[in-house]
Amino acid sequence: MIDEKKLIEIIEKALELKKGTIISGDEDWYSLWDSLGHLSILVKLDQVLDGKCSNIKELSKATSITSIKEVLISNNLFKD
Amino acid sequence: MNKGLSLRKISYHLPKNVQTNDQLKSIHPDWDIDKVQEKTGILQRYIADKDETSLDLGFLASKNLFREFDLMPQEIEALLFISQTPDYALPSSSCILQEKLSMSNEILALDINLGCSGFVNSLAVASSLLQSKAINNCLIICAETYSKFIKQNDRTNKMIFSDAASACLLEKNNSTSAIGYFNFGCDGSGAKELIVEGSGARDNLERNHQQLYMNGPAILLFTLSQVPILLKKTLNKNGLSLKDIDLFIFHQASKLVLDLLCEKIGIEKHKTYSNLDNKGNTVSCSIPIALKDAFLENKLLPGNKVLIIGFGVGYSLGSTIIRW
Repeated sequence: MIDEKKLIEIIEKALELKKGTIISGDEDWYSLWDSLGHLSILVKLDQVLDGKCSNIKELSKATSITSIKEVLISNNLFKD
Repeated sequence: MNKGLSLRKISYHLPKNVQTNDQLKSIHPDWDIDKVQEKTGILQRYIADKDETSLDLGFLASKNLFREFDLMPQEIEALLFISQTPDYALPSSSCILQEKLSMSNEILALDINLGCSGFVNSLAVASSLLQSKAINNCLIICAETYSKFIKQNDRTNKMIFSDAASACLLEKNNSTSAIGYFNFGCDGSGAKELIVEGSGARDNLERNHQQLYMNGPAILLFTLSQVPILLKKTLNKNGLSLKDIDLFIFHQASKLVLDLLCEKIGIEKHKTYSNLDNKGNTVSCSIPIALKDAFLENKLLPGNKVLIIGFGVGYSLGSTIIRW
Protein backbone atom coordinates (compact mmCIF):
# COMPACT_ATOMS: atom_id res chain seq x y z
CA MET A 1 0.00 0.00 0.00
CA ILE A 2 1.26 3.50 -0.80
CA ASP A 3 0.24 7.02 0.20
CA GLU A 4 0.10 10.25 -1.81
CA LYS A 5 3.67 11.20 -0.96
CA LYS A 6 4.95 7.84 -2.23
CA LEU A 7 2.80 8.01 -5.38
CA ILE A 8 4.23 11.42 -6.25
CA GLU A 9 7.74 10.15 -5.57
CA ILE A 10 7.12 7.20 -7.92
CA ILE A 11 5.83 9.45 -10.70
CA GLU A 12 8.74 11.87 -10.31
CA LYS A 13 11.23 9.02 -10.53
CA ALA A 14 9.48 7.44 -13.51
CA LEU A 15 9.37 10.71 -15.44
CA GLU A 16 12.90 11.65 -14.33
CA LEU A 17 11.69 14.84 -12.65
CA LYS A 18 13.48 16.70 -9.87
CA LYS A 19 12.10 15.91 -6.42
CA GLY A 20 9.33 18.37 -5.53
CA THR A 21 8.49 19.24 -9.16
CA ILE A 22 4.95 17.90 -8.96
CA ILE A 23 3.94 19.66 -5.72
CA SER A 24 5.49 22.92 -6.95
CA GLY A 25 2.27 23.68 -8.83
CA ASP A 26 4.14 24.19 -12.09
CA GLU A 27 2.46 21.88 -14.59
CA ASP A 28 5.06 22.03 -17.38
CA TRP A 29 6.21 18.54 -16.38
CA TYR A 30 2.86 17.09 -17.47
CA SER A 31 3.97 17.02 -21.11
CA LEU A 32 6.41 14.25 -20.13
CA TRP A 33 3.46 12.01 -19.28
CA ASP A 34 3.22 10.61 -22.81
CA SER A 35 2.77 6.93 -23.62
CA LEU A 36 6.41 6.22 -22.81
CA GLY A 37 6.17 8.13 -19.54
CA HIS A 38 3.01 6.22 -18.67
CA LEU A 39 4.81 2.93 -19.25
CA SER A 40 7.57 4.04 -16.89
CA ILE A 41 5.04 4.99 -14.21
CA LEU A 42 3.31 1.62 -14.44
CA VAL A 43 6.62 -0.23 -14.24
CA LYS A 44 7.70 1.67 -11.10
CA LEU A 45 4.27 1.27 -9.49
CA ASP A 46 4.28 -2.45 -10.17
CA GLN A 47 7.76 -2.80 -8.67
CA VAL A 48 6.87 -0.85 -5.52
CA LEU A 49 3.58 -2.70 -5.07
CA ASP A 50 5.14 -6.16 -5.44
CA GLY A 51 3.68 -6.94 -8.86
CA LYS A 52 0.09 -6.23 -7.87
CA CYS A 53 -0.44 -3.56 -10.53
CA SER A 54 -0.04 -5.79 -13.56
CA ASN A 55 -3.42 -7.37 -12.81
CA ILE A 56 -5.24 -4.03 -12.74
CA LYS A 57 -6.28 -3.31 -16.34
CA GLU A 58 -7.78 0.10 -15.45
CA LEU A 59 -4.29 1.47 -14.77
CA SER A 60 -3.57 1.46 -18.51
CA LYS A 61 -6.17 4.22 -18.92
CA ALA A 62 -5.34 6.16 -15.74
CA THR A 63 -3.35 9.09 -17.08
CA SER A 64 -3.45 11.55 -14.18
CA ILE A 65 -2.42 11.44 -10.57
CA THR A 66 -6.07 11.61 -9.50
CA SER A 67 -7.14 8.73 -11.72
CA ILE A 68 -4.22 6.53 -10.64
CA LYS A 69 -5.12 7.29 -7.03
CA GLU A 70 -8.75 6.32 -7.64
CA VAL A 71 -7.78 3.02 -9.25
CA LEU A 72 -5.36 2.20 -6.42
CA ILE A 73 -7.99 3.09 -3.78
CA SER A 74 -10.53 0.78 -5.40
CA ASN A 75 -7.95 -2.01 -5.27
CA ASN A 76 -6.97 -1.35 -1.65
CA LEU A 77 -3.47 -0.30 -2.61
CA PHE A 78 -3.68 3.32 -1.50
CA LYS A 79 -4.06 4.87 1.94
CA ASP A 80 -5.12 8.49 2.49
CA MET B 1 7.87 -34.61 -25.02
CA ASN B 2 7.20 -35.61 -28.64
CA LYS B 3 10.56 -37.24 -29.40
CA GLY B 4 11.95 -37.33 -32.90
CA LEU B 5 10.36 -34.04 -33.91
CA SER B 6 12.99 -31.63 -35.11
CA LEU B 7 12.78 -27.90 -35.75
CA ARG B 8 16.42 -27.33 -36.58
CA LYS B 9 15.87 -26.24 -40.18
CA ILE B 10 15.10 -22.53 -40.03
CA SER B 11 15.84 -19.73 -42.50
CA TYR B 12 14.63 -16.19 -42.79
CA HIS B 13 14.47 -13.24 -45.11
CA LEU B 14 14.62 -9.54 -44.27
CA PRO B 15 13.66 -6.69 -46.61
CA LYS B 16 16.61 -4.76 -48.05
CA ASN B 17 15.46 -1.40 -46.60
CA VAL B 18 16.97 -0.76 -43.19
CA GLN B 19 15.73 2.15 -41.10
CA THR B 20 18.15 3.16 -38.36
CA ASN B 21 17.48 5.34 -35.34
CA ASP B 22 20.00 7.84 -36.70
CA GLN B 23 17.88 8.16 -39.84
CA LEU B 24 14.80 8.70 -37.68
CA LYS B 25 16.62 11.42 -35.74
CA SER B 26 17.06 13.42 -38.91
CA ILE B 27 13.45 12.85 -40.03
CA HIS B 28 11.96 13.60 -36.59
CA PRO B 29 14.32 15.98 -34.75
CA ASP B 30 11.54 16.62 -32.20
CA TRP B 31 11.44 12.96 -31.10
CA ASP B 32 13.58 11.88 -28.15
CA ILE B 33 14.93 8.89 -30.05
CA ASP B 34 17.61 8.05 -27.46
CA LYS B 35 15.05 7.82 -24.69
CA VAL B 36 12.80 5.53 -26.72
CA GLN B 37 15.80 3.44 -27.78
CA GLU B 38 16.74 2.97 -24.13
CA LYS B 39 13.29 1.41 -23.51
CA THR B 40 12.94 -0.61 -26.70
CA GLY B 41 16.54 -1.72 -27.16
CA ILE B 42 15.94 -1.42 -30.91
CA LEU B 43 18.57 0.32 -33.05
CA GLN B 44 17.16 -0.45 -36.49
CA ARG B 45 14.23 -2.00 -38.31
CA TYR B 46 13.58 -3.58 -41.72
CA ILE B 47 10.88 -2.05 -43.89
CA ALA B 48 9.28 -3.80 -46.87
CA ASP B 49 9.08 -1.94 -50.18
CA LYS B 50 5.73 -0.43 -51.11
CA ASP B 51 5.01 -3.29 -53.51
CA GLU B 52 6.55 -6.02 -51.31
CA THR B 53 4.14 -8.04 -49.18
CA SER B 54 4.27 -10.68 -46.46
CA LEU B 55 3.64 -13.28 -49.12
CA ASP B 56 6.70 -12.09 -51.07
CA LEU B 57 8.86 -12.16 -47.93
CA GLY B 58 7.54 -15.59 -46.98
CA PHE B 59 8.28 -16.87 -50.47
CA LEU B 60 11.90 -15.66 -50.27
CA ALA B 61 12.36 -17.07 -46.75
CA SER B 62 11.11 -20.45 -48.02
CA LYS B 63 13.48 -20.35 -50.99
CA ASN B 64 16.31 -19.66 -48.55
CA LEU B 65 15.24 -22.67 -46.47
CA PHE B 66 15.08 -24.99 -49.48
CA ARG B 67 18.52 -23.80 -50.64
CA GLU B 68 20.21 -23.85 -47.23
CA PHE B 69 19.00 -27.34 -46.29
CA ASP B 70 18.83 -28.85 -49.76
CA LEU B 71 15.09 -29.51 -49.53
CA MET B 72 12.76 -30.42 -52.38
CA PRO B 73 9.46 -28.47 -52.30
CA GLN B 74 7.62 -31.59 -53.44
CA GLU B 75 8.65 -33.35 -50.22
CA ILE B 76 6.68 -30.92 -48.06
CA GLU B 77 3.36 -32.35 -46.83
CA ALA B 78 1.82 -29.30 -45.14
CA LEU B 79 2.22 -25.54 -45.23
CA LEU B 80 1.12 -23.14 -42.51
CA PHE B 81 1.30 -19.44 -43.32
CA ILE B 82 1.12 -17.14 -40.31
CA SER B 83 0.49 -13.47 -40.99
CA GLN B 84 -1.79 -10.57 -40.13
CA THR B 85 -0.93 -8.74 -43.32
CA PRO B 86 -1.95 -11.20 -46.07
CA ASP B 87 -2.19 -10.16 -49.73
CA TYR B 88 -5.95 -10.78 -49.81
CA ALA B 89 -8.89 -11.47 -47.53
CA LEU B 90 -9.32 -14.38 -49.92
CA PRO B 91 -7.79 -16.58 -51.25
CA SER B 92 -5.43 -17.85 -48.58
CA SER B 93 -1.78 -16.91 -48.98
CA SER B 94 -0.81 -20.52 -48.26
CA CYS B 95 -2.64 -21.65 -51.42
CA ILE B 96 -0.86 -19.01 -53.49
CA LEU B 97 2.47 -20.07 -51.99
CA GLN B 98 1.81 -23.74 -52.79
CA GLU B 99 1.82 -22.83 -56.46
CA LYS B 100 4.62 -20.25 -56.30
CA LEU B 101 6.91 -22.64 -54.41
CA SER B 102 6.10 -25.56 -56.77
CA MET B 103 4.85 -27.69 -53.92
CA SER B 104 2.77 -30.82 -54.25
CA ASN B 105 -0.99 -30.55 -54.97
CA GLU B 106 -1.59 -33.02 -52.15
CA ILE B 107 -0.47 -30.79 -49.29
CA LEU B 108 -2.48 -29.29 -46.48
CA ALA B 109 -2.29 -25.49 -46.81
CA LEU B 110 -3.62 -23.26 -44.04
CA ASP B 111 -3.42 -19.57 -43.16
CA ILE B 112 -3.31 -18.65 -39.50
CA ASN B 113 -4.11 -15.07 -38.50
CA LEU B 114 -2.09 -14.53 -35.34
CA GLY B 115 0.63 -12.08 -34.37
CA CYS B 116 3.19 -12.46 -31.63
CA SER B 117 1.90 -15.86 -30.47
CA GLY B 118 1.56 -17.08 -34.05
CA PHE B 119 4.71 -19.15 -34.30
CA VAL B 120 4.24 -21.09 -31.06
CA ASN B 121 0.55 -21.74 -31.63
CA SER B 122 1.18 -22.87 -35.22
CA LEU B 123 3.95 -25.12 -33.99
CA ALA B 124 1.33 -26.73 -31.73
CA VAL B 125 -0.91 -27.35 -34.74
CA ALA B 126 1.97 -28.72 -36.82
CA SER B 127 3.34 -31.00 -34.12
CA SER B 128 -0.16 -32.40 -33.45
CA LEU B 129 -0.53 -33.21 -37.14
CA LEU B 130 2.83 -34.97 -37.16
CA GLN B 131 2.07 -36.81 -33.95
CA SER B 132 -1.25 -38.02 -35.35
CA LYS B 133 0.65 -39.35 -38.38
CA ALA B 134 -1.48 -37.22 -40.74
CA ILE B 135 1.74 -35.77 -42.16
CA ASN B 136 5.48 -36.34 -41.84
CA ASN B 137 6.66 -32.75 -42.11
CA CYS B 138 5.31 -29.22 -42.13
CA LEU B 139 6.63 -25.96 -43.48
CA ILE B 140 5.80 -23.12 -41.07
CA ILE B 141 6.11 -19.69 -42.65
CA CYS B 142 5.74 -16.58 -40.52
CA ALA B 143 5.67 -13.29 -42.44
CA GLU B 144 4.73 -9.81 -41.35
CA THR B 145 4.65 -6.28 -42.74
CA TYR B 146 3.16 -4.15 -39.95
CA SER B 147 4.99 -1.16 -41.47
CA LYS B 148 2.19 -0.89 -44.03
CA PHE B 149 -0.19 0.18 -41.25
CA ILE B 150 2.18 2.55 -39.44
CA LYS B 151 1.83 6.25 -40.19
CA GLN B 152 4.82 8.51 -40.72
CA ASN B 153 4.36 10.34 -37.38
CA ASP B 154 3.50 7.34 -35.20
CA ARG B 155 6.43 7.41 -32.77
CA THR B 156 5.22 4.47 -30.68
CA ASN B 157 4.90 1.89 -33.43
CA LYS B 158 7.42 3.24 -35.93
CA MET B 159 10.33 2.64 -33.58
CA ILE B 160 9.30 -0.92 -32.65
CA PHE B 161 7.93 -2.96 -35.52
CA SER B 162 10.08 -4.47 -38.23
CA ASP B 163 9.08 -6.45 -41.34
CA ALA B 164 10.42 -9.97 -41.87
CA ALA B 165 9.65 -13.56 -42.78
CA SER B 166 10.87 -16.87 -41.41
CA ALA B 167 10.47 -20.37 -42.79
CA CYS B 168 11.09 -23.52 -40.81
CA LEU B 169 10.52 -27.20 -41.30
CA LEU B 170 9.10 -29.32 -38.52
CA GLU B 171 9.92 -32.91 -39.35
CA LYS B 172 10.11 -36.40 -37.95
CA ASN B 173 13.59 -37.84 -37.77
CA ASN B 174 15.79 -40.06 -35.64
CA SER B 175 17.48 -37.22 -33.76
CA THR B 176 17.09 -36.57 -30.04
CA SER B 177 15.21 -33.37 -30.83
CA ALA B 178 11.76 -33.06 -29.32
CA ILE B 179 8.82 -30.72 -28.93
CA GLY B 180 7.31 -30.50 -25.45
CA TYR B 181 3.77 -30.03 -24.23
CA PHE B 182 2.11 -26.72 -25.00
CA ASN B 183 0.17 -24.20 -22.99
CA PHE B 184 -2.05 -21.55 -24.48
CA GLY B 185 -3.86 -18.40 -23.45
CA CYS B 186 -6.39 -16.02 -24.94
CA ASP B 187 -8.20 -12.95 -23.62
CA GLY B 188 -10.29 -11.26 -26.27
CA SER B 189 -11.06 -8.36 -23.91
CA GLY B 190 -7.73 -6.97 -25.14
CA ALA B 191 -8.69 -7.13 -28.83
CA LYS B 192 -8.94 -3.35 -29.20
CA GLU B 193 -5.60 -2.65 -27.51
CA LEU B 194 -3.61 -3.69 -30.59
CA ILE B 195 -5.69 -3.34 -33.71
CA VAL B 196 -5.94 -2.03 -37.25
CA GLU B 197 -9.51 -0.68 -37.33
CA GLY B 198 -11.32 -0.92 -40.66
CA SER B 199 -8.89 -3.45 -42.11
CA GLY B 200 -11.45 -6.21 -42.53
CA ALA B 201 -15.12 -6.57 -43.39
CA ARG B 202 -16.34 -4.56 -40.38
CA ASP B 203 -16.51 -0.79 -40.99
CA ASN B 204 -13.98 -1.16 -43.78
CA LEU B 205 -11.85 1.93 -44.34
CA GLU B 206 -9.87 3.03 -47.36
CA ARG B 207 -6.37 1.59 -47.32
CA ASN B 208 -4.67 4.87 -46.44
CA HIS B 209 -6.95 5.34 -43.42
CA GLN B 210 -6.11 1.96 -41.89
CA GLN B 211 -3.70 2.51 -39.03
CA LEU B 212 -2.06 0.32 -36.43
CA TYR B 213 -3.12 1.31 -32.91
CA MET B 214 -1.31 -0.04 -29.88
CA ASN B 215 -2.13 0.75 -26.27
CA GLY B 216 1.37 0.14 -24.92
CA PRO B 217 0.47 0.39 -21.21
CA ALA B 218 -2.41 -2.10 -21.59
CA ILE B 219 -0.22 -4.56 -23.49
CA LEU B 220 2.50 -4.20 -20.87
CA LEU B 221 0.10 -4.96 -18.01
CA PHE B 222 -1.32 -7.97 -19.84
CA THR B 223 2.19 -9.28 -20.53
CA LEU B 224 3.45 -8.84 -16.99
CA SER B 225 0.37 -10.46 -15.50
CA GLN B 226 -0.04 -13.41 -17.89
CA VAL B 227 3.36 -14.43 -19.26
CA PRO B 228 4.91 -15.48 -15.91
CA ILE B 229 1.83 -17.63 -15.17
CA LEU B 230 1.91 -19.33 -18.58
CA LEU B 231 5.65 -19.93 -18.35
CA LYS B 232 5.31 -21.65 -14.98
CA LYS B 233 2.42 -23.78 -16.27
CA THR B 234 4.59 -24.89 -19.21
CA LEU B 235 7.45 -25.85 -16.93
CA ASN B 236 5.06 -27.84 -14.71
CA LYS B 237 3.38 -29.56 -17.65
CA ASN B 238 6.77 -30.68 -18.95
CA GLY B 239 8.01 -31.73 -15.49
CA LEU B 240 10.81 -29.18 -15.53
CA SER B 241 11.93 -26.25 -13.41
CA LEU B 242 13.54 -22.91 -14.30
CA LYS B 243 17.03 -24.28 -13.72
CA ASP B 244 16.45 -27.14 -16.22
CA ILE B 245 16.05 -24.68 -19.10
CA ASP B 246 19.21 -23.80 -21.02
CA LEU B 247 17.75 -20.87 -22.93
CA PHE B 248 14.58 -18.78 -22.77
CA ILE B 249 13.42 -17.21 -26.00
CA PHE B 250 10.55 -14.78 -25.51
CA HIS B 251 8.69 -13.03 -28.28
CA GLN B 252 11.00 -10.08 -28.95
CA ALA B 253 8.58 -7.37 -27.85
CA SER B 254 10.95 -4.74 -26.44
CA LYS B 255 13.91 -4.57 -24.07
CA LEU B 256 11.73 -3.07 -21.36
CA VAL B 257 9.29 -5.99 -21.54
CA LEU B 258 12.01 -8.66 -21.67
CA ASP B 259 13.92 -7.14 -18.74
CA LEU B 260 10.77 -6.89 -16.63
CA LEU B 261 9.76 -10.46 -17.41
CA CYS B 262 13.19 -11.78 -16.42
CA GLU B 263 13.05 -9.80 -13.19
CA LYS B 264 9.52 -10.94 -12.39
CA ILE B 265 10.08 -14.62 -13.20
CA GLY B 266 13.61 -14.79 -11.80
CA ILE B 267 15.49 -15.68 -14.98
CA GLU B 268 19.19 -14.90 -15.15
CA LYS B 269 19.96 -12.61 -18.07
CA HIS B 270 22.57 -14.94 -19.59
CA LYS B 271 19.89 -17.60 -20.04
CA THR B 272 17.86 -15.43 -22.38
CA TYR B 273 18.47 -14.48 -25.97
CA SER B 274 17.60 -11.25 -27.69
CA ASN B 275 18.30 -9.85 -31.15
CA LEU B 276 16.05 -6.82 -30.75
CA ASP B 277 18.88 -4.37 -31.35
CA ASN B 278 19.31 -5.23 -35.01
CA LYS B 279 16.07 -7.05 -35.92
CA GLY B 280 13.39 -5.07 -34.07
CA ASN B 281 10.02 -6.56 -33.17
CA THR B 282 9.16 -8.81 -36.10
CA VAL B 283 5.86 -10.03 -34.59
CA SER B 284 5.27 -13.75 -35.37
CA CYS B 285 8.74 -14.08 -36.95
CA SER B 286 10.58 -12.99 -33.82
CA ILE B 287 10.89 -16.42 -32.15
CA PRO B 288 12.00 -18.45 -35.20
CA ILE B 289 14.49 -15.72 -36.16
CA ALA B 290 15.81 -15.64 -32.59
CA LEU B 291 16.14 -19.46 -32.59
CA LYS B 292 18.14 -19.29 -35.80
CA ASP B 293 20.35 -16.42 -34.62
CA ALA B 294 20.96 -18.05 -31.23
CA PHE B 295 21.98 -21.26 -33.02
CA LEU B 296 24.31 -19.38 -35.39
CA GLU B 297 25.91 -17.62 -32.41
CA ASN B 298 26.42 -20.97 -30.61
CA LYS B 299 24.06 -19.93 -27.84
CA LEU B 300 21.71 -22.78 -28.71
CA LEU B 301 23.32 -26.18 -28.95
CA PRO B 302 22.00 -29.62 -29.89
CA GLY B 303 20.32 -31.17 -26.86
CA ASN B 304 19.63 -27.82 -25.18
CA LYS B 305 16.21 -27.28 -23.70
CA VAL B 306 14.78 -23.98 -24.90
CA LEU B 307 11.54 -22.52 -23.64
CA ILE B 308 9.73 -20.39 -26.21
CA ILE B 309 6.80 -18.13 -25.38
CA GLY B 310 4.80 -15.85 -27.66
CA PHE B 311 2.38 -13.20 -26.42
CA GLY B 312 0.57 -10.14 -27.71
CA VAL B 313 -2.14 -9.10 -30.14
CA GLY B 314 -5.51 -10.68 -29.40
CA TYR B 315 -4.61 -10.98 -26.56
CA SER B 316 -3.10 -14.38 -27.34
CA LEU B 317 -0.34 -16.48 -25.81
CA GLY B 318 1.43 -19.76 -26.42
CA SER B 319 4.35 -21.56 -24.88
CA THR B 320 6.30 -24.80 -25.13
CA ILE B 321 9.73 -26.31 -24.58
CA ILE B 322 11.91 -27.57 -27.42
CA ARG B 323 14.79 -29.98 -27.08
CA TRP B 324 17.06 -28.67 -29.81
